[in-house]
Amino acid sequence: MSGVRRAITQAGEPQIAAQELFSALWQTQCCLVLLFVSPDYDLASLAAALKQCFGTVNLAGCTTSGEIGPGGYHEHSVVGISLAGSDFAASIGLIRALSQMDAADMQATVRQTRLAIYDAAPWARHENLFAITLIDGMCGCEEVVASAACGALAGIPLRGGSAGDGLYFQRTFVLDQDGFHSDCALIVVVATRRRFRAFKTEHFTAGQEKSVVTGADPRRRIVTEINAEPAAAEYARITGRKLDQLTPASFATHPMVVRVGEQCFVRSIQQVNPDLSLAFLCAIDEGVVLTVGQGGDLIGNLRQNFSDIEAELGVPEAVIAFDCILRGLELDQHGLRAEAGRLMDENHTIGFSTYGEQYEAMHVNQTLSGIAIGAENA
Amino acid sequence: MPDTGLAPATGRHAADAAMQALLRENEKLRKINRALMASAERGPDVNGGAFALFQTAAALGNQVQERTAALTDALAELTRAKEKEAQAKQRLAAAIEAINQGIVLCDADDRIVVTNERYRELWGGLPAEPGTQFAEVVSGAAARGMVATEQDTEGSWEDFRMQRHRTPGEPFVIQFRDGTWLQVSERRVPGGGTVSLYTDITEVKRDEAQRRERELAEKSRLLQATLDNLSKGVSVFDARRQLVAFNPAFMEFLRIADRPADPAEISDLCIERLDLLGLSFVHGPLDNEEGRHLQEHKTPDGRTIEIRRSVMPGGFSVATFMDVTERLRISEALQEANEGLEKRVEARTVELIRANAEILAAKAEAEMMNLSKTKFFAAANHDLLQPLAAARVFASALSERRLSAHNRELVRHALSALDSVDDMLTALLDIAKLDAGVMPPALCSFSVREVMLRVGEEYKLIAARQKLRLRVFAGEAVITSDPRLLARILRNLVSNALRYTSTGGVLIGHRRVPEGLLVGVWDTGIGVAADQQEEIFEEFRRLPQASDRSYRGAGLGLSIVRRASRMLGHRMVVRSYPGRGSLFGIVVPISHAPAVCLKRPDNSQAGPCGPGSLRGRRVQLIDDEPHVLQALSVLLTGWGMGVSGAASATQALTEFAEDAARPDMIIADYRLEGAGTGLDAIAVLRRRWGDLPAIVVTADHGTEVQQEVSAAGLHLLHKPVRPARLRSLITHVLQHSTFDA
Repeated sequence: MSGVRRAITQAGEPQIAAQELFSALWQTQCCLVLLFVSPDYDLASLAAALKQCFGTVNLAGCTTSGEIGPGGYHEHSVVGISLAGSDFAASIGLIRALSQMDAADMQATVRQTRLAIYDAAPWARHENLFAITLIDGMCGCEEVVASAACGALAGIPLRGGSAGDGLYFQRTFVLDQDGFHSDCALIVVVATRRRFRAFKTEHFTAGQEKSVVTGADPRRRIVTEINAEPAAAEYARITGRKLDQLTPASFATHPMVVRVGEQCFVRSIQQVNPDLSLAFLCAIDEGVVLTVGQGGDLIGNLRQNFSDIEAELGVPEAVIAFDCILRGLELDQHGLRAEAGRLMDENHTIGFSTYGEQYEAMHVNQTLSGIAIGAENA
Repeated sequence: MPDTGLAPATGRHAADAAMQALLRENEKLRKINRALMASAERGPDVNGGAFALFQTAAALGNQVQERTAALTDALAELTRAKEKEAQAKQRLAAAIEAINQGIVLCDADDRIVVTNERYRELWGGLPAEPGTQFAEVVSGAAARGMVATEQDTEGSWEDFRMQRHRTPGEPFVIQFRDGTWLQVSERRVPGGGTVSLYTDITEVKRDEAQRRERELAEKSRLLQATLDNLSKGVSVFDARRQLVAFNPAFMEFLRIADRPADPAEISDLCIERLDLLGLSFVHGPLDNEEGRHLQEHKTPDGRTIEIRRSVMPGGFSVATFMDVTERLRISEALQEANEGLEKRVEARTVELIRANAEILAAKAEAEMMNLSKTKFFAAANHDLLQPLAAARVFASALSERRLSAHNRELVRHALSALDSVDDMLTALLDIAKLDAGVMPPALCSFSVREVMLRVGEEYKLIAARQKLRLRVFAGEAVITSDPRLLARILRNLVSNALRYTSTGGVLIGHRRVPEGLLVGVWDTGIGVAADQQEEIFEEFRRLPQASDRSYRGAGLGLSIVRRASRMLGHRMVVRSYPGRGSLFGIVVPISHAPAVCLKRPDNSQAGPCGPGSLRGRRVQLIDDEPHVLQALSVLLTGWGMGVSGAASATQALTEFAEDAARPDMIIADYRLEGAGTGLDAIAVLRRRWGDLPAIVVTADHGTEVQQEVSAAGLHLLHKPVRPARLRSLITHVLQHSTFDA
């Protein structure tokens, strides 16, 4: 019987973890295995063990800042989902040396990956396809990757996540058959006969008081000055906090929001640098007008998202989710982690806490993005 | 400035601080302004960095990306298509190279598009670059003289080739001077170009040529073998008078036993011999001579050889030598035989003519004999029966007189005896006639009913007197038979039946049988035992009869029946059970022809009449028999009639008194002495007395007399004359006479 399998392993030993994952996820005609791996593992050993178990099966994944799987939110685990059978096909492309690549080359790789899906699934039509990106979270070039990928995907819905490493912000990795890589991005094109829905949801709206980025290093995603004042100080002021109160938790609850046209996008802060500049988790530039985001009802919003999905597909067979780490921190702040986790579990979510999410051609923050896969064919 | 304490210092500081703050604020705003303006001016510049990308993506959504994507896709498709095309081209090129034949493809302008290696090999040295005009190649080949052309080809080879190339049709063949043969197959291709295929068929040609040679050699051998096997001699000389073919028989004819080996020597030798024999024409036609020549040649040893010579196209002289000695001999022998045969035929013909004449003579004699027999019987009929008839008439007349009982008895016996004799004589005569064959059956189709009824009528009285029933069961069947003979047969059978039946009755009837109709007489008489059923047909055989009639038959009845039925070819049927009854009958064929109406003798036409009606009527009798005349006269006078008798009409007229009353009627005998018949006599008398009614009396029962009499409008009466019948006929005649004296 073909289909979808979800799994979680909490075994610390790479060998055991790999085996557990294998026995839970292996299906005949397996076309894709996605694994989201806690950075606490001995990655090299784990990669070897996975290779031993899964062999040449299409494998894609990354390191996380937390895992979402059967049971809800987890840490120090590996979660995975496998797709198999005549309803699914997948092709994977690896974009290396992100920092040196240019958009055209990225596009070529993505296009190749996309065209390769037709060899695996001659029955696939445009509407049967979706794409996932898993990008090195520390490369700082998700915008280029997302933009290039979207261009080469010719309208295929794209969702993705930036690999995390807890909250260390040091080194993140993407995973394929050959092991863990940094400074790389994975593009996975999936063909499915099932009905699916690509979604994104967030719960912040723009604030009133506008601020302007007056000094920035866009390449490094650093804002040096806001409103011609040192960034961190100004941020503290406009959010009504003291400098020393600025923690990831507070970044989570008081993000900056930028308006583009009608839409609001959260621009999340990664950390306060020693020189009181702010490091962001996404693109910023001088002259960008920001407001302090007003948070809404995360849980309500999350519930609404899932019921929208259910309304379209019925209870999904699986949801691949890219959930910003800062949302998790916010949940912790309000003690809502468990409830959110239940919602995730009810909807058969497999995902991870990210350093940022990809939504079509954009790189965004503090959203929940993903693909919900229905139980029935289109 | 004096330091007065706080107030003046604070004021200044405060103002300075405020000023600083404002300046600071200003600076900040200016910076903000600058940043905003710079950002606005930058715009959504793709090269401007990640945020610009983000902005663009957010602003425009996916539109641009999609369109670009579609374009790049199309390009990718195109690239793929181009690759596929390139692949296909490669494969085609490889295929073309792999073919063993030379291929050249020309485009619509007749320029070479592609050639393969083989083509370039075949047409080595000629231009073959893509773009070369095909015409150039052809003229190149012509100039080099590569192609071997036939002398009788119209126009140049070049023209021929180009014409074929322009309108491709059936494959044709090119031969190179070096002996290579190519088969050329050309065809138009879609798009207007032409593809030409050259196949090297040199091998094939060579094999063909070899095969032909072998066949030719084989045929030669066969021909020679045939010639050798002929008994005829054959010689063939060519136009130069060389012997090119011959056979052993020819050699034998020329008496050449040891043949020289050299063909030329053989030829000379043969010519020598032929000339010696005076047969020079064999080895060639003489001047002023036509082709054919036939001559018979006699050899010293007595054989005859027939020599035929014809001249064939090319000047070949073919001669055959046939030994015809035997044939001539046979021919002569046949000739002799023929002559001998003719003589024999002549002799035989003479014989046959003679024999024929003899037969004719014999036939004439037989016919004459037959005629005399017939005449004899006719005469016998007449002469024998006449006196008898007369006797009976006399006896009858006597019986009508008043007689004593005793005398009456005597007369009755006499009559009876006369009846017997009459019957017997008639029967005997009939038998004799039947045996002599003078009574041939006159077959016709008639209704069987007529005959049966008539016979029944005749015997009604007799049956009644014997107190026996007599019935006639007659249907409408039409049969083929002689009615007269049939009647006779039936009469005899009925007569027998009545004689041999004491109680019960007799039925005259018929029944269908497979072969036709069984006509017969059933009786309830004494029957005949099986062992006597053959006997009864013998002459004069009588069985003890049942009835006690004093008259017994002569025993001739059945023998007559048998003879008559044999003559007619009808089968007799006899079935008889002693004490119960019998059936005697004959089987007659049913006719599919329409029935002929039978002429009855005028006897039966006679109606009832009274005894007194004849008194005073006068009748003239003509008969050359005196006692018949006498008898009749007596009879008629007894009836009260006035009678005059004469032997002939002349006599009657002579004796007729002038003042005497004319007779009312004439009764004449048919057979009269002298030339004429009774009819002639009546005619003579009628000339004198007018159209008196007349009765002709005859013993002749034949139809001719009947016809003659009725043709003359007269009445017929058969002898022996029964007085009752005569009387009724006379009465009838006089009653119905239209003549009024």
